[in-house]
Amino acid sequence: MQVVEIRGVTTDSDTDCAAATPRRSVLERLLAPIAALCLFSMMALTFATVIARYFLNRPIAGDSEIQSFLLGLIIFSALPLVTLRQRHIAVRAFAVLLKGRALALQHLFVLALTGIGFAFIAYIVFLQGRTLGEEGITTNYLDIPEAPFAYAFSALTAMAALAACGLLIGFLRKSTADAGTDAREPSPE
Amino acid sequence: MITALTGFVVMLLGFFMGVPLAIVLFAVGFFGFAIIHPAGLEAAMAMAGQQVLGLTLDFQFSVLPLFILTGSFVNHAALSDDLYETAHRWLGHHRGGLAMATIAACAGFASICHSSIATAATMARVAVPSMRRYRYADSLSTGTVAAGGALGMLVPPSGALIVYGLLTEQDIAKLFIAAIGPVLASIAVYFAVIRTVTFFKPAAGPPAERAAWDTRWRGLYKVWGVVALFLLVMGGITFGIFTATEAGGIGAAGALILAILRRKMSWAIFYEALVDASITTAMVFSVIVGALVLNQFVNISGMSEAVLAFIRALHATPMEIILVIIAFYVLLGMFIEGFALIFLTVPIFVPIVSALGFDLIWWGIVLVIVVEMSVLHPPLGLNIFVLKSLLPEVPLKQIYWGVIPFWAGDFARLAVVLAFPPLVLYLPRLFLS
Repeated sequence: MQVVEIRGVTTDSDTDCAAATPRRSVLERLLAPIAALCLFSMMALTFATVIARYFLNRPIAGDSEIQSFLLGLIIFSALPLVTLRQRHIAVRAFAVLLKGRALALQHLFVLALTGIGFAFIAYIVFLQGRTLGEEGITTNYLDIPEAPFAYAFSALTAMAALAACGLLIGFLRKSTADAGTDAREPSPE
Repeated sequence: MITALTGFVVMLLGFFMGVPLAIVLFAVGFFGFAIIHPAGLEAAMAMAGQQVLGLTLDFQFSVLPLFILTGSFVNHAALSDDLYETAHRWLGHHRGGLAMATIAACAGFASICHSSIATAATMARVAVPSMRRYRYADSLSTGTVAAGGALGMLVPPSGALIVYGLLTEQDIAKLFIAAIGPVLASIAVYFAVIRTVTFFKPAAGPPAERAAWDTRWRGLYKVWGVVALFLLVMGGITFGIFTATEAGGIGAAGALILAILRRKMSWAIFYEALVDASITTAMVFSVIVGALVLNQFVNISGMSEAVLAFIRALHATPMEIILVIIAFYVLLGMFIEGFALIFLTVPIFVPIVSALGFDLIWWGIVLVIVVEMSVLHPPLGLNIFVLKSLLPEVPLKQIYWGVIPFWAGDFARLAVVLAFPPLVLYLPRLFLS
């Protein structure tokens, strides 16, 4: 589907800023393989389900439950990567008109709100996980408890918040360093 | 109502400041819900938590990542050259024939790639040099690619339709089948646009040499993979052999096999395609979660009922109201486009359209056509800028001039879909009643 589509709508990737934080590589190396593996497993499982049902007449037990956990894992493990690569869907029709200090402030504002927003969502998911744990909610067929997944999703969302913070700090450092360099440069006269 | 309006203003402010849609929609939905609901923050916390986990743990929604993955694999299978070559052999000898071939190839590519921008970008690389060789006007060639790319949003299995289906709880299989009639009508309208342009300006699209029949059939043989994948996925859905989600799995596996058979797949590309598709999935789902939380706020705010009461007081017919909504979309589409337009407006307008008694499958198709128009027209026009970035030597003004006839064509196909709802609804009722 819209692989390039959404990237095109949304991205003004700030690679300098993203590269400024060392967390990028660690998070990428940790989470990208998990997301990739889960997505491949989802594809293989769906394919196998169809083959098993139509050709072997033997449905795979609990496939939809495994599928749903895979979906959650794909979304939440890739969420910090979306933040790091600054590929969140956003309307930038007016932000692109900004320059200099106004643009820097807008960038800081957006990163701060992204960090706060994801931290808050992580907290909400954590609370939901606690409720699921207290009520002992499990899946219908395979009897898998849902709470641990909710806690994992909460932790991954918190990583997205941390990623935004990392970008924010990187951006501030870079701005300060640039300002320092500008101040040291001799005047043209 | 005041809370709802304030929420709407805050939402627009957030959008235009460039805050991620996921955060804006979620925040406005959450705090709006907390203000209106008698149980306040506690109720909002529970609601938001349920929405987040409800969506991300519902296996039916795995349809989206699977189709995203299909597109990711297809992009690496280098199918666009063969598609264009085949369409060229069949249509190239007509006046404006290469432009028509481009539209046909765009529709073919989009049917397995599911991305409007990827379609436009790929076809710009393949079709524009060929049209230049035959001395086509740059305005016609670039306008055609931009319009053909936009058409990609509607061609089933379409990502835009999947997102609409997830947001409105409509049957995705029905949406896919409903899009077939409008896509064929759109191709016919675009062909008519090209014929009209070249009628008044024959030098803009001179005919190429006529290909022999055996060359044409050989061309069709080259694109067997695309045809097979499309027929497998859409045929399976249409005849109820598998669900939309299963079709996604079959499509992704098929696209992977196709790429391997064409020797276009390596481990590095395979891994990158998986990671990229995962990232796009997270990107889209985070906004869907936000839109669903906003939906809850809109539901309890009474905003839809108030707007509906206001509209009813005007004593306008339902179709007149639809036309006003579409005019609003066209205006809004000048500043917000593509998926952002869908996420922003669906929670607000779908309850109204439903209350007016219109079929939401039909509205989904109308909506996607209007959103397609948003990527084609000034001042933003995403596809126009994609072409400009790929073909920097073509002046922006020429691309705009090239797109204008297609934009007129868009109004024509929109009018057809509005005037003849059976064009949309007949096939889903026939196959999935």
